[in-house]
Amino acid sequence: MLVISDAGIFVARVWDYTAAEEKRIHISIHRHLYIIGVFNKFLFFQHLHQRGYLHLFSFFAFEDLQQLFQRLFFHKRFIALHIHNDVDLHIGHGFCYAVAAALVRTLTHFHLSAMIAYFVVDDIAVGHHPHLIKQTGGQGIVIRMANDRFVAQRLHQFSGKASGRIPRRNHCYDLHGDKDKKSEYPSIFQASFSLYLKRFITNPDCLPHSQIPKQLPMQTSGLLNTYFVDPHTWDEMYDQDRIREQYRHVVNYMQQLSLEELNRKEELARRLFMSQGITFTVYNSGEGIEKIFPFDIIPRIITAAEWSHIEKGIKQRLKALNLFLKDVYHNQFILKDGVVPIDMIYSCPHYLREMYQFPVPYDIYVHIAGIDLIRDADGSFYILEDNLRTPSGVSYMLENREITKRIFPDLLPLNNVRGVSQYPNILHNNLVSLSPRQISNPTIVLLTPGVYNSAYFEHSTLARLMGVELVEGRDLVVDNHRVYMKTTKGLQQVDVIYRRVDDDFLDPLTFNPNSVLGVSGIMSAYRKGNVAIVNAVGNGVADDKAIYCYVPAMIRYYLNEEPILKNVPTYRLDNPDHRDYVFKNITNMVVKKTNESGGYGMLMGNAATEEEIINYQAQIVNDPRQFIAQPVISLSSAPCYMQGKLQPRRVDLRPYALCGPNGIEIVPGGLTRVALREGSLVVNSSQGGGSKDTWVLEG
Amino acid sequence: MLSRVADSLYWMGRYMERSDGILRMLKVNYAYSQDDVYEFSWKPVLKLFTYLDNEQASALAKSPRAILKYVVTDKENPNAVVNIVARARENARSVQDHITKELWQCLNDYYHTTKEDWLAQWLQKDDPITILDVLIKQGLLYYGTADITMSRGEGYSFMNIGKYLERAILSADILSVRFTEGDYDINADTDPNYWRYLLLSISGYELYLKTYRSGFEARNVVEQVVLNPHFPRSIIYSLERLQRYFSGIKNENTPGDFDELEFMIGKLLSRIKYSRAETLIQQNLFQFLSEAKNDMYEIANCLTRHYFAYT
Repeated sequence: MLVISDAGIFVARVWDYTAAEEKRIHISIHRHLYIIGVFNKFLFFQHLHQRGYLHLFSFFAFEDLQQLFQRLFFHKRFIALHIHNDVDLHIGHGFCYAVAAALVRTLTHFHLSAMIAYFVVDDIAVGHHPHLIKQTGGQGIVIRMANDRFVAQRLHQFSGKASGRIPRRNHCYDLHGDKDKKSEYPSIFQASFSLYLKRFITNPDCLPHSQIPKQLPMQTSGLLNTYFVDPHTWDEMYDQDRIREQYRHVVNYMQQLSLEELNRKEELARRLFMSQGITFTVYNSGEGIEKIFPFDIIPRIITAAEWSHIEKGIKQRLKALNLFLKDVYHNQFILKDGVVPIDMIYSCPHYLREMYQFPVPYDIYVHIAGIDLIRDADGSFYILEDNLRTPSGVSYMLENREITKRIFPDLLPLNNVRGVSQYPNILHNNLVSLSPRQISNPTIVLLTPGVYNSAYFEHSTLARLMGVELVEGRDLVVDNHRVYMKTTKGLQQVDVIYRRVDDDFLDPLTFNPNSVLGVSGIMSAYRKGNVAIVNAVGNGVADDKAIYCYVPAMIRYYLNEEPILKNVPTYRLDNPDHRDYVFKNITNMVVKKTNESGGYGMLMGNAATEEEIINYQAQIVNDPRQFIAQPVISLSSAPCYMQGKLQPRRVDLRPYALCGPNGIEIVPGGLTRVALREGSLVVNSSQGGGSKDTWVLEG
Repeated sequence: MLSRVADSLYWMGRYMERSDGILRMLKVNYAYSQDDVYEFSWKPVLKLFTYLDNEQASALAKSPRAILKYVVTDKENPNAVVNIVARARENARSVQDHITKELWQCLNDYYHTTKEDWLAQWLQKDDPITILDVLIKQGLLYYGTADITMSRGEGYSFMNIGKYLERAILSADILSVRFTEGDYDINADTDPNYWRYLLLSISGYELYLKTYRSGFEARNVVEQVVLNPHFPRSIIYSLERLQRYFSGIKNENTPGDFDELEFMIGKLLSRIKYSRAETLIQQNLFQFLSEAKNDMYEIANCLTRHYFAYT
């Protein structure tokens, strides 16, 4: 009896299942488990997962089968455990990836005639998966064509179906036939199959085109051998020595590819990014150098259960943060009740008095949030940062998915991955609903700092996907507290501005007078309520790293709920006790500036030199309000394909939440950032980080 | 449509047309330079497509490879193909949401091709025509993609306005080089090779043969390049297209602007339309072409004033 799981891991004890008296093996088998065996000297194809039966019968000697399976054993993916008297060939969900390739490959190694490859593998795998055929490189394909009609006829006789195609996955024709009519199975079928099988077993060389290749192509089955996980880290793929359920298909698929193919895919990804201009430009001595944000081809996979937890947690947090922003800019109950100290607010440079007592539409301040999550060694998620101003990176969520479609064809539907492409539509609907003018077709614009901004690609992508105008500050003008854009047909009033320009540069009349990115007078139009700005101005007070410590308290204060997602323990350095503690344990701490982002101005206590620490401590003592400290949390690791090897690298997760008048929606996916340097815990793109496609599986 | 966007689309069209013109010109002239060592001179090309003064041009004119390098890949030359494509691409980059993704990718690929190291090396060591063909094909891909994928809206009109205006100016330039010195006697001087290569470089050779059959006469060349409405690089064809695409951006809000430009285009077009090759030649062709060019520059300025001014 021979058992193959789809990850190439073997489960023994199949003979336990044998219900001897029935002579038919009833097996309640885990999803993605494949069994090959002889049952009553028939060869069965069974679709386990769907509980539909697909049986193709053939008669041949049990000894022959035994030998066949011993041959298969040569291939790494097959191990004969014990050939029992009864052997069943079961083909489950995902057959084409796990077993078919292996079978076809094995057979073609010996240049077995495609006749056999056809019957063993059948149309399920071969017919519908051209890339699979390509991988095997065998002759199976050619002859398959010639035999299509033959098989169609056979199947027709079996089942009354007109077509020989057997749809993959969800629907499976029952070709069981009638049990009592076994004798009617066409003898030509059995004869030809047995003949080929016999010839193959007795002397592979006797078959046409048979040459056993001297050297087998290099396989990647050893891919996992180089993957060493730090035992004190949560690994997204490995659970001790077992591959997590959600990674099975991906690992399988990768194992079937040779190193060259994997490298080619990596190159393909790079080329796709380059030709679509998904690049950021580094300006060096007057000439721009195009660089791509490094992309790792292996997706990061999140299960349905994990996702629903994250989703609930983020919704709760965002709700509280919106209430907090409304409160600090209006009645300030939370300050008066002493839950958040008043000096924390007034010492925050992002608290803008211009926003005081200004009612924003629907009381929504944070329309778009990119909240960063990390995962500690026990696998639980922590909130690392709230990005409530102009969170970026969502275009990578969308583009990475497009690239994955190209480099891993068919894997997305096989894994039931939820789509992310609705993001621009949701955002657009939210923007439309904010329009101050009650008209059917309000003018929405995306305000970008311009082509030299490193996120310019993202701005233009979003504008294109939403079908809104992409404007720069110089395209807009304010007249009589209304914002207009300059078009070829004269001025056109603007209703909603999705701005990707920071507060500080938004209006030179109100904020930084040197700004040329903004629009003079835009704040007056905003305060008059003639234009909506997204995200609202002044949100920085809520994602200040020192305010961060108070978010759990806010959730309790406003919602009377316990926080679903935990905060990373955070020490405020303006508190003398905290500061002493941090200084004593500085080697286990990460110290950050409260109003810096992008990984700048950080001290990683475990990696810094003595001198760096002393200098940094001096800075802290100078102005403690500007610093916080957190214990070093070991981020979870995920597999990356680097230099021809699978290696664990640390990752975080940034899902994008959209908050509109109808509530909060979180697109199932997000940006997974990777620290590409070995052992590094910093995932920011400015510090050598890359990204991955993020899959959220359907429950 | 935003004025800035219209401006970018217009310049994208102009730059792409210019890069195509330069490449074709180079390709044919390079072939010519292999043919005819004594008569051939690179000077007209340098005069047309670079800002070099006479002395620098003469120095450069001796080495075809140096010219290729200068005109195609030299980043110091503001009118080099690599810089023109880069500018077309920068324009496209700032209006990505107004062109199709295919068009953007196509132009972006073109840009990355011009940046390749092998390109410059091949241009110096190997057969340069192969390389020029590679670039010309990228340009053709751009035209095809624009034609197939772009919606026929305002943006498309502005792209084509840029394209045909540039083409008309280019054709006038190409033709006038020969007459610059002012002492060219159209009846006495016959240099069939020159005209042949000129026609080849603007893909007008076959049409010329079909129309006139005989040897190369300046009169016929002038007729074809200025007055033949079926020749896609003739001045009259380009202006007719310009007029047609310009009429596509008519709108109610700014009738005055539209009328002014329509008048200018119409006037220039009629002037050319109701001329004959003989009269043009008799009345000093060089002056006629210069005036036409000035009118076109004025049209460009007027467009900028009425449609693109946004700063």
